[in-house]
Amino acid sequence: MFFKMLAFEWRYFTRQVSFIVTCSVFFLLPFLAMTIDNVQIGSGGNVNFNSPHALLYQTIILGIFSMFLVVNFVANSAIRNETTNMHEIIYTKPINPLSYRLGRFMGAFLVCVTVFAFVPLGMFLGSIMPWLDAERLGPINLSFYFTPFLLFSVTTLFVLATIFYAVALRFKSNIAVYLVALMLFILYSVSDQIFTDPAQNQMLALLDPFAINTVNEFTEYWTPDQKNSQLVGLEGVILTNRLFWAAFGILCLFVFGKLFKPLGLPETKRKVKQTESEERVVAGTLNITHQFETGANLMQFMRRLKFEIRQIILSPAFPILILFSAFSLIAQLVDPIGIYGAQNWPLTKFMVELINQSFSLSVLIIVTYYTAEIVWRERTTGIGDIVDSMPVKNLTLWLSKLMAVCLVIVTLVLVAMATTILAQLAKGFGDIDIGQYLVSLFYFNVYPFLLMTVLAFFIQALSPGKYIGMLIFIAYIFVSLVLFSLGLEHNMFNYAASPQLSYSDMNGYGWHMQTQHAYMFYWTALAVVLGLVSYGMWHRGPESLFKDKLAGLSYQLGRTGQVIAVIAFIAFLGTGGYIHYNTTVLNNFISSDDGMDRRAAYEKEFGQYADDPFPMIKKVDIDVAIFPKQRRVEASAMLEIENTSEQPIERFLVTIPQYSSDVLVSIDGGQLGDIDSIYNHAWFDFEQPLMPGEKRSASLAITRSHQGFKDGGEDSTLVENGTFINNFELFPSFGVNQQYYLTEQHERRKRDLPPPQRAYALEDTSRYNETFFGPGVGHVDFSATLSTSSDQVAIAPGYLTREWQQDGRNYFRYEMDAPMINFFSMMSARLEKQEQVHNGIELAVYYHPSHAFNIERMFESMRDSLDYFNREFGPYQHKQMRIIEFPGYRTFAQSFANTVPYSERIGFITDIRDNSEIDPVYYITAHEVAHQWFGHQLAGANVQGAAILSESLSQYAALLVMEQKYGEDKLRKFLTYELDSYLRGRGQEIIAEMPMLRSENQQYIHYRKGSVVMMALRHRLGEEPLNKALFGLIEEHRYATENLPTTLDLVAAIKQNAPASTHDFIDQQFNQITLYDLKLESVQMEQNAEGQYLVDLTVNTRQVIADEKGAEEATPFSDEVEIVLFKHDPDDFSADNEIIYRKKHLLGDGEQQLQILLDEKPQFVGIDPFIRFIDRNTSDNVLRISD
Amino acid sequence: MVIPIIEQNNSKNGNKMLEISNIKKTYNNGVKALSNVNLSIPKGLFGLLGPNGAGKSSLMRTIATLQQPDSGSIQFNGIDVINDPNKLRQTLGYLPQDFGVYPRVSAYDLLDHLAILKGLKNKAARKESVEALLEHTNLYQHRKKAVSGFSGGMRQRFGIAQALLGDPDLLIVDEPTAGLDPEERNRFHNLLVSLGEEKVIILSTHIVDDVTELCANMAVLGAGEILLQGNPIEVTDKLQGQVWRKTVGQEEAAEIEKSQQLISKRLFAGRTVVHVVADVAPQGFESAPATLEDVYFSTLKTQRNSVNSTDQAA
Repeated sequence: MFFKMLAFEWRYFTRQVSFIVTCSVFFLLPFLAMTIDNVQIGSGGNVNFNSPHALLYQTIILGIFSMFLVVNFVANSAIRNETTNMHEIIYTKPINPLSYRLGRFMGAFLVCVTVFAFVPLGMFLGSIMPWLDAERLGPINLSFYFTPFLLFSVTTLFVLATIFYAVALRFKSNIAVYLVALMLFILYSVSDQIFTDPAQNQMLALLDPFAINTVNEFTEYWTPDQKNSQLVGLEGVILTNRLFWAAFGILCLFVFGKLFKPLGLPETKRKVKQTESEERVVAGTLNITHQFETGANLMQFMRRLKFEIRQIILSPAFPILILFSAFSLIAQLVDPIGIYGAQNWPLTKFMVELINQSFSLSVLIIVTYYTAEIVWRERTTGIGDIVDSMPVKNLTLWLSKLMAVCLVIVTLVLVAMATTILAQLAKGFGDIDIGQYLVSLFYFNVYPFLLMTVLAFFIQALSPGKYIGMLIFIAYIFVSLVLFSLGLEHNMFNYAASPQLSYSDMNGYGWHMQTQHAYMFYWTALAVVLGLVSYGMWHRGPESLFKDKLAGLSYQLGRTGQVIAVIAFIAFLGTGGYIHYNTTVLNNFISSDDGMDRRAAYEKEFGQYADDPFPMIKKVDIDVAIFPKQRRVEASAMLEIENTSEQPIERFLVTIPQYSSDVLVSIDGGQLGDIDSIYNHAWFDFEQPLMPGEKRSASLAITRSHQGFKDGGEDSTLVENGTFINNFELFPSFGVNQQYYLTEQHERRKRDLPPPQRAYALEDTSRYNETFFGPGVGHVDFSATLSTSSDQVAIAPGYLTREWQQDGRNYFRYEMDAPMINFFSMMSARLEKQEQVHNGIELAVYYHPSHAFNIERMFESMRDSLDYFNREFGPYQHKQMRIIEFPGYRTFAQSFANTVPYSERIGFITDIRDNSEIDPVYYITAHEVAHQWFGHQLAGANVQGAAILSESLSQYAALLVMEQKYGEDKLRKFLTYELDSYLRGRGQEIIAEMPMLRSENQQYIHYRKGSVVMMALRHRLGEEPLNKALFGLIEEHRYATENLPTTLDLVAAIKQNAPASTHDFIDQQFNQITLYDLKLESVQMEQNAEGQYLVDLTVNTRQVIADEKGAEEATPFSDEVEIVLFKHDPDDFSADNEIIYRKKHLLGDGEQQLQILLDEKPQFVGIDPFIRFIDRNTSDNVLRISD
Repeated sequence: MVIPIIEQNNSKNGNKMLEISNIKKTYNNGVKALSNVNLSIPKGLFGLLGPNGAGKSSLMRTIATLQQPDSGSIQFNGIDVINDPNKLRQTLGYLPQDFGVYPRVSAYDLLDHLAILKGLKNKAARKESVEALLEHTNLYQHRKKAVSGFSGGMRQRFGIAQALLGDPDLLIVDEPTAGLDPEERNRFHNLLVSLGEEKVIILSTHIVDDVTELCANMAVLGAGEILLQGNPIEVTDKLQGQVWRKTVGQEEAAEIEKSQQLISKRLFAGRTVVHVVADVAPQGFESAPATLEDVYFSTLKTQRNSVNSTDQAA
C-alpha cells in the first residue's frame, strides 16, 4: 500500500506540467547564476565560482524558493481528495491511514527532492561551460555539488514538506498553505533586520530552517582559502541546526500529519438555523418599480472603492503583511543599529529609511497579489456575469479597483509614518519634519509603487488569467532588479525608477527634486498610456481572449481616451528626450563596463609615464569663489613649484577634474596643450625645461559648475548648503592619475592588465621620499582666500586672518603658520559655531543648527585628546582645532591640518544618553585629533604599511583617551567589535591579506587589527615605553620630506623600547598573520575549610599562522595569558563591576588545567577577557561560575 | 406560502420586443456555438429549450451583453444591444446558469451593492426595493448572513432577487430552478408568470415541463441553430396523431431503436415505454397523445439524423 501510494503520487506529479516547469526553473536559476558573470552568489574575489562555499550558498539560497515547490506538490497531495471532490469516494474504501498518508506524503516529498536535484545539476553543468573564466574555477569535485544538496536541501525540503502538509491537512485549503508560506517568507526576511546582536546571531543560526544564517555563522570568519577548499559538514551549529529541524519535521509529521487517524470527512460545523419567528411577513405584492437612474456614476464609484478596499483589508493575507511589516518596523525602532552599537537620534530621514526597509516588501506583495486579486475578483468569485451585466461603466469598475490598491498602499505607509512619529516623540525627539516625511515617503517611494500598480494592472488586463499575470509581473520585477547587471543602467529604462534619494538635513533634497520631477513626469506619462490601455482592454463577460480585448480597445477608449493616450505618449517621449539631453548630452553617462574599459585604456596608454618626474608644489595661495545657489566655483591658485627630482622636466601630464571648464595652467617657459576630452587631461610642455632644484611660480585657474541633471552619481562635493571639496577634486593636478586605474583584479585580467598593485613594496626605497598621499604631495606653505554667499561661512585650513564683505558676499582669508601636507579642504555652508579656548588653543565646532546634540562631547574629546597627545607625542603643531559638519552624502570624518570635516551622518546625530553604549562621538573626535600627529606630523612613506602609521596609531591614541574616560570594560566591548570586524574583513579579502607590516591600505587591517594589536602591545609593554617609542618616531620624522618612515621604523622603535622577551610577540603581530584560539573549556568552584574559593579552570589554547589566502599552519602556543575573575557579568556595564583576580598565567599549547584560590566569591571568569590576542572566537572566553 | 402578485404598471406599455438576427459565434477552438440564430421574442415568457451544449448559455450571454457575437444584431426596444451594451444593461435582469458571490458580504449588503451598480440612486427607494426582494425570495431573515455561506437553494433565490433589481424590462434566466426544491420552484414559476405580463422573459432550460407549464412562446436550440420556434400548444398540435407508443422489454427496445424512428424511451414501472413518430401506427404500437416532450425529442432526432446523413453523404 505504502509503495503503491508513493508510486501513484510519483506518476501523478511527474505527468503534470508544473513538474517540468519547476524542474526547468530549478535547473536554470543555478545554471544562469553560475554562468552569468554579473550574478555571483557566494563567490567573488579569490573565492572560486565553483568553490564549495559558493555551491553551498547557491544551494541554500535556492532553498528559500523551494517553498513554492513544496507548497505546490505537498499541499496538493494533502488535499487533492477534497479539492477534486474525490474524498467521499476514496474514504469509503478500506484504507490503512498510515501507509496511505505516509505513502502520499513521501511520494510528494520525493517529487520535491527530485525537482530540487536539478539545482546541483544546473550548477554542475554551468560550471563546465566553456565561456567561464578558467582562472576563477577550482577543480571539479562532485561532492562539492551534491553534498550540500544532501545535507541541507533534503532536510530543508523535508521540514517544509511536513509543515505545509500539516497545514494543508488542518485547513483543507490551498489559500491557508500559501498564507503560511507567505508568513514564513516575510518572517524570514525581516528576522535578519531585527536580530542584529551577535548573541542573537547564534539563536538565528540555530533556528534557521534554511540554514543560511547557520552557514553564515559557521563560516563567518572563513578566509578565501577555506571557502575554496572546505566543505561545510555536519558539525557544530550546523549539526545542531539540522538535527533540530529534522526532529521538528518528524514531530510535525507524526503529530499533525494525521498518520493514524482513520480517513473520514471533515466535521463541518453547521450553524444553528435561525428560528422562523424572525421571518418577516411578506407583503402581498412585490413593488419594484424603482428603476435605473442616470448620473449614478460617482455613487457607484464611491461604493465600489469602499467595497474593494474592504475586500483587501478583510482578506486573510492582509493582516499578516501588516503584522510582519509593523513587527519589523517596531523592532528596529526599539533597537536600532548604529556605529559600534550606539544608537542615532530618531531623525526623520532615518525613520523614512526604516519605513522603506520594513514596508517595501509588503507593498510590493500588495501590488503583485492584490492587483491580481482585484482585477480578477469578479471572475474568481463567480459573480462576474452578474456584475458585468449591470449598467456600470468600465471606467467606474476599473478606476475603483486601481484606486483601491493605491489607497491601501498609501494608508499603510501613513500608519507606518504615525508609528515612527510616536517613536520619535517617545524617544524625546520633538523635531518632527512632517514635510520631509510626506515628500520622502510619498513622492520618492510610494508614488513609484503606485506607478508599479498601474503596470501590474496593465499586465493583468492583457493576461489571459490571474496567475499568469502575477507570474509575468514577478518575472518583470526580477528582470528589473538585474537590468543594471545586464547593461541597462540608465534609470530611463527601468520603469518607475529615478535616481536614488539621498536626503541631507543640511542640504535638504538638493538636486533630487529636479530629477524626481523629471523622472516622475516621464513615468507618469507612460503610466497614463498603460492605464488607458488597461482600461480600454477591460473586459466583461467570461471569455477573456486577447484578440477580443484588443478589438474593443479603441471603442472603449473613445475619442477622448485616444487623444489623451496620444498626448501622454508624446509627453512620455518628450520628457524622455529631456532626460536624455540632461543626463547624457549635458552630462556624461558612461556604463560601468565602458567606464572600466576607459580606465584600462588610460593605464595602458599613460601608465608608462607614472614614474616620470613632475613639479612638486611648495607653496599654495588659493582664491576660491563659491556660488552655492548656482553650484559653481571659480577657483585660482598661485603656486610655487620645484623640480625635486634629479632630471630636468620637459613635460608632464595635468589631470583636469570632472565638471570643469575655463582651465588655466600657466608656468613660465611652457604651456598647456589641448585637453583630451576622454581622459580629461593634457600635456604641459616646457620650452625651457624645469631643471633639478629649479623653482618657478605657476598659476592655476578653473571653474567647476553643473548643467542640467544626472542619472546618478551627482557631484556631492559642490552643493547648495554644505560644499566640501578638496584640492585634488577642485584643481588640476600634476602627474599620471593613478587613482583612475582599474583596481578589481578580475576586471583587470579581462582587459589584459597585470594584477593590481595596491602599494609599493616595503623595501622599495625609491618611494621613501614620497608621502602616502602619493607622489608629488609634500608639505607646503598655505594660504587661502575663500568667498561665498552672504549667508554662508567658508572654511579652509589655516587661521582666519581677515573676514570681510564685498558685493554682498562673505570673504575669508586663511593663512597657515606651519608646513602642512598639500591636501586641503574647502567648505561652505550655513552653520552655527561654538568656540572654546583650551590651554591657548582655539577649539571650534561648526554645526548644522538642528544637530547640536553632542557639541559639548566633541569639545571634551578635543580637550582630552590634545592634553594627552601634547604630553605623550609632542606638541600640537597648530593653534587651533576645528570640526566642521558636512552633508551626509559621504560618511566619514577626515583630518586636514587643524581642520576636521565631519559627516552629518556620524557623531553629530548619535544619541549618547545611554551610558552603557560605546560613545562614538568621543572616539571619532579623538581619532581625528590624533591624525594631527599621526598622518600630519608623522607621514609615512608611500610603501606598504603606510596606513598603519597614520590609522593604526591614531586608533591607538584615540583608544588611550577613551580608556581614560570610560575605563577598561568599555574598551573591551570596543575591541570585541574591532576584532569581529577584522575577522570578517579578512574573510572578504579579495586579493590577499597582508601582515600589518605590509598592509596595503586594507581598512580591516589598519583600523581593526591595528586597534587590537596596538592595545595588546600597550598591555604587554606598558603605556609609557610604547608612547616613548611613538614619541621618538615622531621626533625623528616630523615633517620629513625625504626618507620618510615606514612600518619597519615603527617596529624597530617599539622593539627598542621593549624587553627582548616580547620581540617574538611583536613579530607575530607585525610580520605574520597570527591567529589564536583561546578557550575556557570549563570551570568549577568549591569552598575550602577556610572559606576560601578554589576555582578550577580547564583552558585550551591554539595558535596558527595564516598565509595571504588564509591557509593555516598550526604553531605551538606558549605565552602569558591574562586570567580574570569578575564579581559580575563583564558585559554588564551598568553594574559597578569589580575585578577580583587578574593575573597573567604562562600557558602552553592545547588543553590544560589551572587552579586559583580566592578570598572573595567570583561570578564570572575569563581567559583573556580584555582581548590581548587576535582570538578567533571571543565568545568562548568568559564563563559564569556555577555554585 | 404567499404567492406574490405583481402590480400592473400601466405607464410602461410599449410593444416590447427582442429581435435577434443572424447571430453567429465561433469560439477560438473552432467550436461553432451559434450559427445564424434568428429569433423574435415578444413580451411574456419565452422558453429556450435545448440539450447540454446546444448553445443556450452562449445565446443568453450574448443577449446579456457579456459576449460579442462574430456577426449579427440584437435589438431591444430600440436599443442596439451589441453596440450600446450599457443602454441595455440599464434595463436588463440576468440570472446566470451558475454564479458565485463575493466572500464576507451579507445578503443585504450585497443586494444593496448590486442595486447601486444597477443605478438605483435614491437611498430610500433602494432600501425599499432591496427589502422587498429579500422578502419575496424568502431571504429576509437571512439578510445579515454572508451569501457565500448560503445553501444552493438560498443562493439561487438570491440570484433571482438580484436579477429583479431595478425592475428590468428584459429578464434573462438561465436554468433558474436548478437546485431549488419543488416548493421553491413552484413559487419561482408563479413569480415569473406574474412578471411576464410586462416584460420580455427568456427562460433557458432543458426541462421540457417548465416550458410547457410557463411559456407562451418557445424555441428549440440544437447545435447552435434554432430548430423549432413557436407556441408550445401549436407545435404540439402539429405532431398530434403521429406519436405511437409501446411497452416493451429491454431487448425489444434495442431492436426497435434500430428499425424505427424512436424519439424517446423511458421506464415505467420497470418496463420500457418507447415513443416513435410515424404517419401510421407501426406493428404493435398504440396511439399516444403528443406532448411537447415528443416534439422536442423528435426535433432533436431529426436534426441529428440530418447531420449524420450529411456526414455520410460527405
